[in-house]
Amino acid sequence: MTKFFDTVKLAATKFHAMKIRTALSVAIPSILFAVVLSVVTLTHGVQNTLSDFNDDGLGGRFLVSAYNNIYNQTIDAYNEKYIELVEKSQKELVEKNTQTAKDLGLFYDKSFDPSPVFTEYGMKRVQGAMTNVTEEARQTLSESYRANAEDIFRVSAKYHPTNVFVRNYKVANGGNLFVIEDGVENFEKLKPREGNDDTVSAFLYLGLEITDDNLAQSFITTKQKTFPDSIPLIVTYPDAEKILGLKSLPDSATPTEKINRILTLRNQLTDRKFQVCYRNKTSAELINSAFFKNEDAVILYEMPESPCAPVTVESDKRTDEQKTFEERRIAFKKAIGEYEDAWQQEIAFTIIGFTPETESRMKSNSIFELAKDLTGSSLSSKSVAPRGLLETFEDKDLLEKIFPLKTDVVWKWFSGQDEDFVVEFANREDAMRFVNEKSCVKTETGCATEDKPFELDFYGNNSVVIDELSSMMMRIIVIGLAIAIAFLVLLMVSIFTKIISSNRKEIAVFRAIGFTRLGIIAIYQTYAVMLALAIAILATGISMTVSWILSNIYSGVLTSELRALFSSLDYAKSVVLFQPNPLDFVTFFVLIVILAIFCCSVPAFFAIQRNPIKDLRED
Amino acid sequence: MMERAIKVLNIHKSYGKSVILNDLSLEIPRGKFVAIMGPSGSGKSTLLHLLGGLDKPTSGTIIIDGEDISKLSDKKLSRLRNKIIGFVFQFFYLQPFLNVANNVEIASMPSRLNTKERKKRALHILKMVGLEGKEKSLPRQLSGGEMQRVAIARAMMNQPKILIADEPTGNLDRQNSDNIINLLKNICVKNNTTVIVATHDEAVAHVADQTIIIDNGGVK
Ligand SMILES: Nc1ncnc2c1ncn2[C@@H]1O[C@H](COP(=O)(O)OP(=O)(O)O)[C@@H](O)[C@H]1O
Ligand SMILES: [Mg+2]
Repeated sequence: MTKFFDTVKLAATKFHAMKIRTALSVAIPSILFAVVLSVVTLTHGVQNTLSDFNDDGLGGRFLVSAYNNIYNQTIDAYNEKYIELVEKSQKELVEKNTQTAKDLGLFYDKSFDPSPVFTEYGMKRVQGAMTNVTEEARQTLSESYRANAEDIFRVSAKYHPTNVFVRNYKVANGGNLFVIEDGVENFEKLKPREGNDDTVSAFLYLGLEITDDNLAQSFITTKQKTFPDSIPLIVTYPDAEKILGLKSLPDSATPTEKINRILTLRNQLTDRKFQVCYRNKTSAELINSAFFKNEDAVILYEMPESPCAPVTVESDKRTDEQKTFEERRIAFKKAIGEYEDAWQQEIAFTIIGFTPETESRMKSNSIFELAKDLTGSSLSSKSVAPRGLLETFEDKDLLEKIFPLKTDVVWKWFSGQDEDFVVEFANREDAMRFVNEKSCVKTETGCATEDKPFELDFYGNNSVVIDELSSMMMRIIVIGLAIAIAFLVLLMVSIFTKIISSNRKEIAVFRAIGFTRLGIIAIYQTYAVMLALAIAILATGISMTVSWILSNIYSGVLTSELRALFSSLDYAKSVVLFQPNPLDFVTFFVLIVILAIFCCSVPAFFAIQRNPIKDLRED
Repeated sequence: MMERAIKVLNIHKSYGKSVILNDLSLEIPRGKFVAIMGPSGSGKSTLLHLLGGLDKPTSGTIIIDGEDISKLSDKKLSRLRNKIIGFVFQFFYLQPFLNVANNVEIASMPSRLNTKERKKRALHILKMVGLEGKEKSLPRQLSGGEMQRVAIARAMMNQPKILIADEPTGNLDRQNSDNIINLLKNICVKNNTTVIVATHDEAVAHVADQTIIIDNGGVK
């Protein structure tokens, strides 16, 4: 056998031939492989970083929200069946109430129950606001499957859930909540909203979303464990800003500004207790009349002077007849439990934590926005109370009075349920399969069926999406690798075929001199290995440089962005995009050398099988 | 009995239907200078390639140094070509990117001779062929005659028993041709190497110990 060093020496002479072709077959694969290696290196960085930051919030958990979507969009205000049904129920209601009044010896007029159906431009339509009658009609017309808690266990069982959490809503039944600031009850929220300029107390929606403590846990910043005289509330950052009277930061704000904002909110608002005036439906209606004073009205009301005080009558120009009629109406409604005298009561809330707002996905216009959409962890789009902590509130009767446990009417348009669910899985695959296989398919007439009773969506964070993104990244890397390999093989086969066929005479001479076939193949293989090493070294060099530069440019910014994004205050966490994995490079070197040897061996093998004499004669 | 370097018995060589060598037999004595002559296309090169183990006869036996080469494996045949036989071609076939010394050393690469010995031997042989001082030159810096000397040096590198040259002067002027012929004759005489030269050059026949003329597929 020929000595290794001799083989190298002879192989090196091949570099003198076809210099441009050789340069190209080194440069092109080098650049392609450099791109792949850079992506691989940066992907490691992104993955490691994300999994580091993912400990915050609900990050890293595989959660799926499930709600019984029965919404039938064909049932609109002009739907004939709907109108027919509403009119029928309305008639029945009036008949029933007439009878009830008779039984109770009370006066009844059908104007006590105004019909939701009215005629406009000669067309019948159902008025927008929901009543018991319209709600019942909708529910009757909806053909979707009504699910309950058993259904969620039934459909998810196959996918091995590790937890099923229940979320429900306590609704201020027709009443309203007004924040008391500096001893003054703030009625700003009654004003029509202008754009996004929400009022300070608008965050107190007309109800409370109650969620499982397990889900809420990582959003809680307070150390208190019980809340005997206030309702614990996790607020969204935008709501927190409103509470402090801060304008939300523009998108162009620097990451440092964003982090400082989060710090400010957390420091100033955690454990902040604030008084709220709850006004029941009658009281809230009176406040409304007093606030938007209609000078033509027969009865005028005066705004209360002290916080959470009753509304007083300013002037009453009603006739005796009008007064009697109204008194009779109230008497009847009270009798059937649909009227309560005006009452109001102060109740306290304590801010116990913060959640980034859920954002609608993919509206992002910058890479950071995209990252935010994909990675941010959020509990809810509004204020949330953790169930366990809420139970430490002592005045249970008050809570029940203010928030009778019942889903609000609007939600009922969409859902057949008072509660919805969050199902947790141990891994992405199970969560993905559950959503893909069991989410109901939305149609015009509804969604839920017995087989697929819920609309399912990834919840709380985008772990699933991130995971999916990583595996998509893997696919991109594999495709990139395949393209680079294809180029390498093409260029190498072409260059080796060319060199070897132009070297036929030389091969013949080498055979005449006494080289064995294998000895000659070894020369070309060595040449191939040298080319491969040149490519590998160049590609490694380029990719290291590129990803190091990119890492230096973006790591700092990304660190701040991610801290802001995950609301992370753990300053030990930082983004390092430049995370080369030696194993990748070893694999790459081995792969490229094997490929090169393979590429040259085929043409070399065929060349060596030729009768050398034939090549020597061709002159 | 004179020792035989090569013994050829009833060989046939044909390419498809055209018969090139037909029942040819000959013997070449050891240490002699043999010229092979004949018209163009008569099969001189074909015969040399068979003698050098570069090609195989369609039938018949070739015994070189006592061994029937038609029975050898690629490895053994390669060894034979490397150790026993030296080949010189009309067109030199040097490595354009290696210097003179390296071109000569190539011949010893398959035999794994140690580097020091190899260098010493190459220098010695280059001196013998009259190229002292040109060791570091590249082939393109040499004249045709010099290039053929390098080729001869390369063929002599492993001190072969048989040196086969196919039209070694075919590409050279008279002066250079004569020098090459003298060199080959010297090699034959001084080293006791069997030299077989296929040629059109009458001058070769003049110095040859024996001339074999080939025509119509056989020895005339
Ligand atoms: N590979 C081949 N296939 C077919 N014919 C060949 C081949 N090689 C040589 N020949 C023919 O064999 C004959 C002898 O060629 P060659 O030995 O080169 O003659 P010479 O060297 O005496 O001029 C020529 O007619 C040539 O055309
Ligand atoms: Mg010839």
